[in-house]
Amino acid sequence: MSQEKTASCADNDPASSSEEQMLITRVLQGDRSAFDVLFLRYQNYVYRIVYGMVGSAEEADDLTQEVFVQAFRALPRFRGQSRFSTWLYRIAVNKATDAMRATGRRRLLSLKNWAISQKSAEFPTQQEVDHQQALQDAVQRALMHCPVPFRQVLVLRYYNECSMEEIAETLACSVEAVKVRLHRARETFRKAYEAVCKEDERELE
Amino acid sequence: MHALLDAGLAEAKAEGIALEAHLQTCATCRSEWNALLKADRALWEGRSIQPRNQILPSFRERVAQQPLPSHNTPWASAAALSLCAALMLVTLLLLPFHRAVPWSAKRPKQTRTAMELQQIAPTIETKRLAGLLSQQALSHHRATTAVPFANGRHARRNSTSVQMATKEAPLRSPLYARTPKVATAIAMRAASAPNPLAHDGALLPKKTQLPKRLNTSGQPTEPLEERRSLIIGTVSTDVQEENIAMAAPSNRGQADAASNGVLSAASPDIASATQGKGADWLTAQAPVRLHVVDPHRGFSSTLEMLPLANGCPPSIVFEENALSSAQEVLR
Repeated sequence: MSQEKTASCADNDPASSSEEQMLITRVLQGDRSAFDVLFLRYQNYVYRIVYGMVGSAEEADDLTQEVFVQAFRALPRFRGQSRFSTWLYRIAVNKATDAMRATGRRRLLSLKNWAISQKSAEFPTQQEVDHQQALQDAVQRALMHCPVPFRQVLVLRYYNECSMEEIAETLACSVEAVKVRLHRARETFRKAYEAVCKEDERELE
Repeated sequence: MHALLDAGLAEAKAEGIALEAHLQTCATCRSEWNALLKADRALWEGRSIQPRNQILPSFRERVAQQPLPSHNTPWASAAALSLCAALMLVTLLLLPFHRAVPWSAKRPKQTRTAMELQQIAPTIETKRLAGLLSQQALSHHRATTAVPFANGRHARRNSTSVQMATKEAPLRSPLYARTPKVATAIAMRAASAPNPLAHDGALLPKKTQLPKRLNTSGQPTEPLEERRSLIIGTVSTDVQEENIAMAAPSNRGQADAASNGVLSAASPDIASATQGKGADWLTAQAPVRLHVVDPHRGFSSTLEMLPLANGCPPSIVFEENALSSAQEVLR
């Protein structure tokens, strides 16, 4: 997997931000359809956050919508001091965290929970699809063994490719704190992932 | 090690070299690093997660139940409500004295809201369509979309442009997406929903068949229904290597030819288009502008792709130059 720094957010450039500001203004003027554009732009990002945290596709579908509904309602309070994406991610993280705490249970995923990845859209072989699904399943199972604060930071960093600054802004903490939390999260995940992999190997035997 | 992972291997070369030197002499750290790297790589797989279902329609339903957001305070809302109630009361009192006018006479003809227009392909931001609709001559369709590349800077996946026909505009609705899956999903969604490009008046006879020139399969198709779309085929765009190299075949046979051929460098940023000479392709640093000419379906179009800039997704512009009216297509 590439270690290069990749695009983290959809609105990194000023032109995109100003377009978003325009869309927000339109929504506030009564044009609900303008919010569809924002929804479509960010639905995958939000979905990845909530899915990574709750681990259930059905719940993630529902939570994604709830995040956007809440954002829609709270739009007048968005002052543009942070990026729209960061603001939205904050809502998503909070919603998913609340949902986790409300249910207070860990979920294990079935393979069917995973959406067909973009890789599979390139018509890979069945073997590649199976491998990809097994890998993603193992990752999510390991993630579900991590504490919620670790999950937050891992999902933002890896699933959504956020920079340290963006994570800090989303989680309302300093960049240094994010780094420390990420290091601990990575260590916790590594151990959980190793355990999951060993478990899978034992099952295969 | 963590700092290196935070920064990315490519951006922390010096640290990477120092670590590499150390790892060669320390088995414990080497084992630690390998385990960390394995977990790190596995985590990146999460980037490909997507919702399984189309959640926009149900989201729309939920958001429709919400009051419109505004800067108003609760007091202001209450005042506005009181004002509305007062106005309604006055209107009701004055209504019996007003001359009756049929409601249908007041309703403007052939109006389509921006919301309706966006329903056809929510990932495509339609431009200029509102004005064109009233002319019934959709000679120029320009759509802009932004599809992020999951793997960062390099476009290296197959892409598909789905051509859809509607009864009212048989050559309309080109949908472009990075993957066939996405294109098909958009197309299916658009096909299953009322077609917002439909006009109020019946432009074409009710039992309109797909024009022969659009039907390359040679098989009879279902008649185009009012306010429904029909997928009439796809144009595959093969994107290979970094910095975008693409082949744009104008029909299926040429698509095969393109996929078998070797893509070579062409003019770096100028469109290349040949008709009837096999595949059209170009390699470019970008921006890429690609003209697609499809003699079978009787249209030419321009696909313009701007690459990632400053980490933001590329924007893709699909511009179609079709015949001047839907009637002309059927002749």
